[in-house]
Amino acid sequence: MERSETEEKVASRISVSRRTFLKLLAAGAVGFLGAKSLDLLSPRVTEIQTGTTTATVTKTATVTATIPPASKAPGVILVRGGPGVSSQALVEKALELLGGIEKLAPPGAGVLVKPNVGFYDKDAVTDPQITAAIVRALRRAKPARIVVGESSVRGNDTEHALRVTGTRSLAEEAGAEVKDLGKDPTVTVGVPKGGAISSVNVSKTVRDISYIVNVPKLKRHSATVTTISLKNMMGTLPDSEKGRFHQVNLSQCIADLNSVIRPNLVIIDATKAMTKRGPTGGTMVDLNLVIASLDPVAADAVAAEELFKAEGASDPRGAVSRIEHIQRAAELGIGVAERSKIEVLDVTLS
Amino acid sequence: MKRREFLKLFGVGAAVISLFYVLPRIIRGKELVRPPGALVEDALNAVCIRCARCAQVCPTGAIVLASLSDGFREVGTPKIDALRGPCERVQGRCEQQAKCAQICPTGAIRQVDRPNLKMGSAVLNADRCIAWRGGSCLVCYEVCPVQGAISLIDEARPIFNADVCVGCGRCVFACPAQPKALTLASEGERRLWPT
Repeated sequence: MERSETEEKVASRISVSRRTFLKLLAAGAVGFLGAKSLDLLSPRVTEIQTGTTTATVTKTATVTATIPPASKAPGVILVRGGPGVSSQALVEKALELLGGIEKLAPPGAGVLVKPNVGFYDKDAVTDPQITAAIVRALRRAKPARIVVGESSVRGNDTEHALRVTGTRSLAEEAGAEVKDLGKDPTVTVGVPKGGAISSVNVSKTVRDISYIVNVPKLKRHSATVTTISLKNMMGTLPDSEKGRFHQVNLSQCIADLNSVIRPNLVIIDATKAMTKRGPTGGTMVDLNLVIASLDPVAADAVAAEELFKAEGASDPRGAVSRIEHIQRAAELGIGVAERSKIEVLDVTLS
Repeated sequence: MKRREFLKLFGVGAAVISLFYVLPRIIRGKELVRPPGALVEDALNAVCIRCARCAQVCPTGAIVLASLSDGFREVGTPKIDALRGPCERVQGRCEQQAKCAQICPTGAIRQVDRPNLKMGSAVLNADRCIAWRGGSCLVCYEVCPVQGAISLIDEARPIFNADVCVGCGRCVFACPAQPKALTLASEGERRLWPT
């Protein structure tokens, strides 16, 4: 008798708790769907005003990116090295002239270092010594994590490229984690200002970090005239998206991509530039030059001019003004392409 | 017409089609693209024991085994399927080793020097090519490991030089056009005589 009463009590308690549970579940589902329909859970694109530059970064509800103002930093810095000056010294000088890496990268941030490791050929990729030097410098800014990431050119094996170019070993030695972004899960990011695409699938790692250091190689390119920092961002995409870019309108797509995944800092490896043809098989020219900027468009415009000068072009500035993806990026407000509006600091280390 | 008659007619029709269409194709076989250093066709089909080791060691997954639709004699022999992966014997993951030749127990695939390395050639269908249709692409040109195999007209449209092309399939694999503007054919292939 007593026992059955207890059972009843227990049963009633369970039945009540089940009802409560169901109510809770329903409320939760309604809340989740509501939040989703209001787009609170997906990554957002936020504009952050920082001093004189406007930076666009993607962020999630949990990651907040703070970009310190680029106080007094000139638009683009060129650091040339005399004979015997190491690429690492050039990188250090460029960072110093930009105000110091500690002031640039927010402490505790997740940082992506994005070199160009699209190929197996050492001439066609960012010097791994430069990538490693940047990783070492970044460690002084005390970031939460440093990822050196790449998704090689369509059809090339990223893992193999990272290994044979020495990027993986040197970057890991410098203290970064090295990642094949092409094998990463992807997230879809809206491209509100896009001229050719309205959304793009990017590597999840890129979405999850809050500071991007773009470390391209200065090269000629068969389809886009040059490949510098803006084009290098295609290495954050899976192969399917790279393919779509080629099908739609490559130059506009590159500009569109940079309008949502905008590099915060650009350090261009122009120690050996690839002239005449590219992105592989061109004529290598020793420039022993590193170009740095917080503005990827200005950096590309100035670097492209240096490339055309190295080729002996009669009108290098005119040639830059005909590079479609750089001009499209300027039109989207990603940065400044007009040479007269870019402040350039040109120093030589000896 | 009675049901039995209909079925009879159907059976005869199927037999005729297979006799005159399917069977000859299976017996004749397709022109397959073979791994680098493969023996001439008859010798390859005779010497290969269909062990599939070459396909297993291929670092890019480019080697697959021929199926019945590729031909009766060819079933189980290795072929290059550029849609699955390119042959990176020239430059890349295979690192000039020809792992398929190293592992082959019967010598159906052998080490071959660079001048005689030619599996076939890439064939362009310009109607499907993004660059030929006015877009900017040239992914084929970017990934081609053989200088001179692809040259450009007006720095914008690719043309393929079959004599220089080694038929590695890098461009076919990477081509972003849908459907692909490039196919890999055995045309111009260099094979080895069994000695």
